[in-house]
Amino acid sequence: MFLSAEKVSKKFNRTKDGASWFYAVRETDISIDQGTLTAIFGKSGSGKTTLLNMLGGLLAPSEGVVRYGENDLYRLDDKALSLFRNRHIGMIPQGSTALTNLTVLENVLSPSLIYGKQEDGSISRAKELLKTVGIADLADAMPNELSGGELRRMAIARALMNSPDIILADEPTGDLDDENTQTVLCLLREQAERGAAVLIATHDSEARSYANIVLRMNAGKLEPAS
Amino acid sequence: MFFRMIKGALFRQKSKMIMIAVTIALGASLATAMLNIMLDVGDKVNQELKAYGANITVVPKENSVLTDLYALDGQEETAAAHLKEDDIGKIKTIFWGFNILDFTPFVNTTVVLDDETEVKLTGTWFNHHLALNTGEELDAGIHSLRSWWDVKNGQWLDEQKEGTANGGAMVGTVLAERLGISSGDSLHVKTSDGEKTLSVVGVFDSGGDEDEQIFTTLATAQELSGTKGLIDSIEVSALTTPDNELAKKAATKGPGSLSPADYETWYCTAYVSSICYQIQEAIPDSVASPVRQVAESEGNILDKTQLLMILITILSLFGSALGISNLVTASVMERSNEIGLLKAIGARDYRISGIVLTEIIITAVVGGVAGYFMGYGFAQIIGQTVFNSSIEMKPMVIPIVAVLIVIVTLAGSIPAIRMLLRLRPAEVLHGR
Repeated sequence: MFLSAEKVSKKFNRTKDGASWFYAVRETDISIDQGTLTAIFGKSGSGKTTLLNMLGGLLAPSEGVVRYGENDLYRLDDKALSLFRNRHIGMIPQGSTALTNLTVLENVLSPSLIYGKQEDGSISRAKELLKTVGIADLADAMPNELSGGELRRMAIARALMNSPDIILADEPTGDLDDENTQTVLCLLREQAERGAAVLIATHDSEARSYANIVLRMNAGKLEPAS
Repeated sequence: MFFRMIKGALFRQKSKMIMIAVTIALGASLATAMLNIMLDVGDKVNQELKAYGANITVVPKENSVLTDLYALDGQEETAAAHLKEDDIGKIKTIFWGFNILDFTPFVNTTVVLDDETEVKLTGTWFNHHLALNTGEELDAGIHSLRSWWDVKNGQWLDEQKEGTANGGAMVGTVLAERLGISSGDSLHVKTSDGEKTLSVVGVFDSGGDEDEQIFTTLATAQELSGTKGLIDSIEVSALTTPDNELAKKAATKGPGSLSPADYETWYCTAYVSSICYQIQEAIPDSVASPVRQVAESEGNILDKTQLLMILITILSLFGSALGISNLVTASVMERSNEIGLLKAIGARDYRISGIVLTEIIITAVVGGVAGYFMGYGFAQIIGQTVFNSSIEMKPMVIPIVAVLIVIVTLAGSIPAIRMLLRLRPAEVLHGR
């Protein structure tokens, strides 16, 4: 058990006074182990993104505990939790996310630069990742020059930059054509094989063949996929 | 990456940063202009207040007693006691000598003209150059103390050019009209002590009794009245602090009624009563009395002018802070997705706040420097428009404005930084 969630729920208020609310995730258990790729399927609004965010240290659960090893993630202070996200989590958020003032190469390098000096080999690794996701020729371009699919691939390269041991990918193949979908899924599979715990939330049935474990999210609860 | 992001933000959000810089520049310019004027306004307002004339009169002690006894006003002639001309300069040596803006002595006498009519003749300084024992040099006289005189014909008597003993004179319009004289004409006058032909250099309109008089140099009047080295009175224009309870107590009950501590405070404050007291100490056998309305008005005008400028400065800076607050908050909202991403990849709140604050401070420095020079221009425009002279730029304003800009910028950025700290990456990355 590497990263796990125990009875986690996330309640969102619909109104400011809290008179009305809903559960995005309800009393859910999940554990992600090193060397496995877990795929979660489910309809939009079923709670997949909320669960990923809670596992990634970005959203505190209303109830339940998220553990990394023996540590309760949300008992860490801001400094420790930020460092945890930087060192251990490779987050691929949904949609197009980029630091618009930096080039594509700098965007990919950004997780390695946040906590100090650039290490030897960082640039060559970033370039290698860009080559792997097929946008090496766009290294010096600015994010606003990229298409949606290219931005997605840049985000994947960025998530892998620090060789994280946990990769959380929210719709990683959205906006990608078939060829690039295969490339990205292969890449995530490779990460699992090198020992990372990979969790992807997706609608793409293609992902099923790459996953060790397949789950379904339904109305905030996880269940084994049929 | 830190500096690259800042550089990128500064250039890629050029229009927003220019708006912030302009907002800061406007606040800084008003603060610069107002602070410089405020610090320089004392001198400027003093120059303006000279138009009100003297606010202290000094007469011999004996005359003062008679004036008080018979309730005579300053225009009436009293007994023939005199002050010494040599003592006049001592006025500038009192504790509050720096607040003495101008002064002039008077010798009054009655002269008989060729048509046997009697006319009042006053001897005084016009623009007398004075070299004090302290080494200070200054020009004093009625030229600035009677700045409202309208010289209808000819010009002001220039003592420094024409000398003090050559019989130059200025004549009031009513008298000049009656005698049919104008500048360049001569006027023969005589007294029991002598006679003299005066050369009329100007005809003035004072709007008062002085229009029926002759004004000449002090030496000429002393010669005609036989009072060489003596004077009747002195008018003094001094910058004073408005009276408070302490000053009123000292004025009504005398300084002797004050406790030693109160006396010290009173003596070391530029109340009109303490300046009068110090003049009396400096000039033997004299009584210095305030022309209270003028003295109080001057102090009040100066205080109110400075208060107005402080309020304008505070309001302009408050306006700038509000403007900065809106612009920076809008900037953070626009970049919430990026800020969320930075948090997601492990950036700590203080680092992200540091990026935003550094951007704003750099913009503030640019805006502040531009604002300082704009303020310099505003100050000169205001100086020329209101005081007809340039405003001296005080170096101490630079650090004050710099500190104010930093405070205003940081205060204006607080709502944006609070918003930034509250941003939840999970929500903004999900597009909420």
